[in-house]
Amino acid sequence: MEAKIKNEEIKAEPAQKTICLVQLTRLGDLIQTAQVTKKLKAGRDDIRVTLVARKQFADPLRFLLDEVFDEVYTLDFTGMTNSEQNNLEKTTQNLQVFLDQINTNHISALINLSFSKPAGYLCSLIKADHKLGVHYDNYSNMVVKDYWSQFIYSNVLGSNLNPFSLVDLYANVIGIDKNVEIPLAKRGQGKRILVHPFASLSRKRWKVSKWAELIYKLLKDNPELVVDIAGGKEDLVDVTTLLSSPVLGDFHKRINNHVGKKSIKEMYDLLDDIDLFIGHDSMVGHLASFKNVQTITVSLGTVRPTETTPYQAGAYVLAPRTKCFPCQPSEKCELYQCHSDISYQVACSVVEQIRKDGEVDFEALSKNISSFHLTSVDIYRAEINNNGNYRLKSMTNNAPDSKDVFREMYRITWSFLLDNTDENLPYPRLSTQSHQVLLNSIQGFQHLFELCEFGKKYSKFILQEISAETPDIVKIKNFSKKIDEIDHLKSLLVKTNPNLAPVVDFYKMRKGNLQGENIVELTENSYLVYEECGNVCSVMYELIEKVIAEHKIKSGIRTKDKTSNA
Amino acid sequence: MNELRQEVFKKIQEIRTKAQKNEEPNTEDLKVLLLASLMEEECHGSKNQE
Repeated sequence: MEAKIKNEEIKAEPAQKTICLVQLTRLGDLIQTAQVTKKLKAGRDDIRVTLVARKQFADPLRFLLDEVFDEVYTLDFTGMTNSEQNNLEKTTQNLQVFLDQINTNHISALINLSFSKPAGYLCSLIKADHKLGVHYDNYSNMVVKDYWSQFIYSNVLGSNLNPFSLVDLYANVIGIDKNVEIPLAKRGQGKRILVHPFASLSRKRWKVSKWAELIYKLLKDNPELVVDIAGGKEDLVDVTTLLSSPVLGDFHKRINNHVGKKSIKEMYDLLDDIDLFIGHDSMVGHLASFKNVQTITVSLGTVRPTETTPYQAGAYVLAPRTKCFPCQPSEKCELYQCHSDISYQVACSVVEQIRKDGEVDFEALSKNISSFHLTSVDIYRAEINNNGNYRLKSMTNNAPDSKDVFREMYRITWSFLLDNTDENLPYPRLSTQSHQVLLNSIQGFQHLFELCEFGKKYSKFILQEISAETPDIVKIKNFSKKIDEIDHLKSLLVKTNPNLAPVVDFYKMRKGNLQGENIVELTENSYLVYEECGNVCSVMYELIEKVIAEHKIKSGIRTKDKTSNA
Repeated sequence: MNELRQEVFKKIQEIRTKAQKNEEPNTEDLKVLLLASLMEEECHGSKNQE
């Protein structure tokens, strides 16, 4: 009898476990989330993956999302508030209906991939066995427990030194094998090019006249070429200006204008006939990568190529070498220097080379284009390394700027410490300017390491005082004050050494999310955070030293050569 | 919509008072916080478009 009762109490595990992804941000992010989900589901029949997204972004992509996700729940805020009785009671009732739909199925893991307040609160209201990413606790405090979500929150939203693609970061949060389902660009050698000359903000796109020049040159030099132009209804005025450009007067028969005429689904279907895509960072580029169409992205303004370039091995990126690129959305800019730094001649030659040879050869490129145009632009090709990580590899002979050098060093450090993987990258070439920046930063890392040692020391003092027979609360408070001072000094250090921001911000985030039920556990974990932060400083310090030493050796060889030649 | 905004605003004040007293917000409070954040986002969205 007893055994029978016990058997009844044991609930059968569902055959498939449900993972629910929350992605409330825009179209491009939704496509990238779909790309990660493809990886997650590859060869896995034991999991169901559901998605929670905003209705206005999910509906136009329904054809693609339904293919990848087992179920899609759409949050329709406008619909919720548009009832006849537009009051709080009715709206919360509508919200509850939506929540009930999601909560009907038992969710094993809820993973928030969007880092916004609404997504955080929504995740607090969804029931799940485990929660990853941002959510709020019972006291409405923000909680981010896992390393990689903490990394995204502190590094992607904060500094511009994040070395990883968003798709890889999402894969890290979920904890999946990155080596599966990697889209590979088909060689874009056919005769149809899709051009998307628009972007959501003017700072992220060239002026229409520049695109007119590019299209003109491509059509003039390639009599068999056909250009398709993509865009939404909001781009209708710009496309009219583009097509009325006098230089395109003779080529209208070879230009297919789809702007404002095709839905996203129709555009997705059109990609079957397209051989190459060129445009700014936007949803269309991500759609093209989904169909393995070769992409070339012209990155401008606030766009961070390492994070948002279409996820595709072989994708090309043209990025300006402007000092302020990529800028922050809050920074005002009248000049748009980054727009001038990528000339249409470079873009045109890159398209020509890919069409002819399937890839870009910098030596050949430098024979056709003036170095005046080439020195102001970086050309990157996306490659996937042995660990399945996406990386943009420079194709030019330009020495990388200090931000690029730091990104590469951070890639090695974070991969080693957070992912336990080795990234084998060549030593970056240093310019005089980046050499100086590294020399300045090495002191910064030294100071940060020392502060971490102090943090460990005072954490230890607190633990010792607590374990004393009669703990002195005043002493504990004073040690705690010292720790606050150390954290304040760490923030000040970033002001003089901005390249330290990824480390300081990440460990600030880790410290804000310390786990522990009592003062002892919290202090022990605080000690560990200082220890981890110190380890990052040691690795970065060593890397900088090695890069500088290598640079000196190479410079020395050059000096010797000069001497022997003389 | 304005009426709803006012109601949400009033409720948020109540939640703040509760928080000052160190009281836990309940599920209904979390729903209000979610609605407030959605409203805030919508407002910023329309400002950006302008």
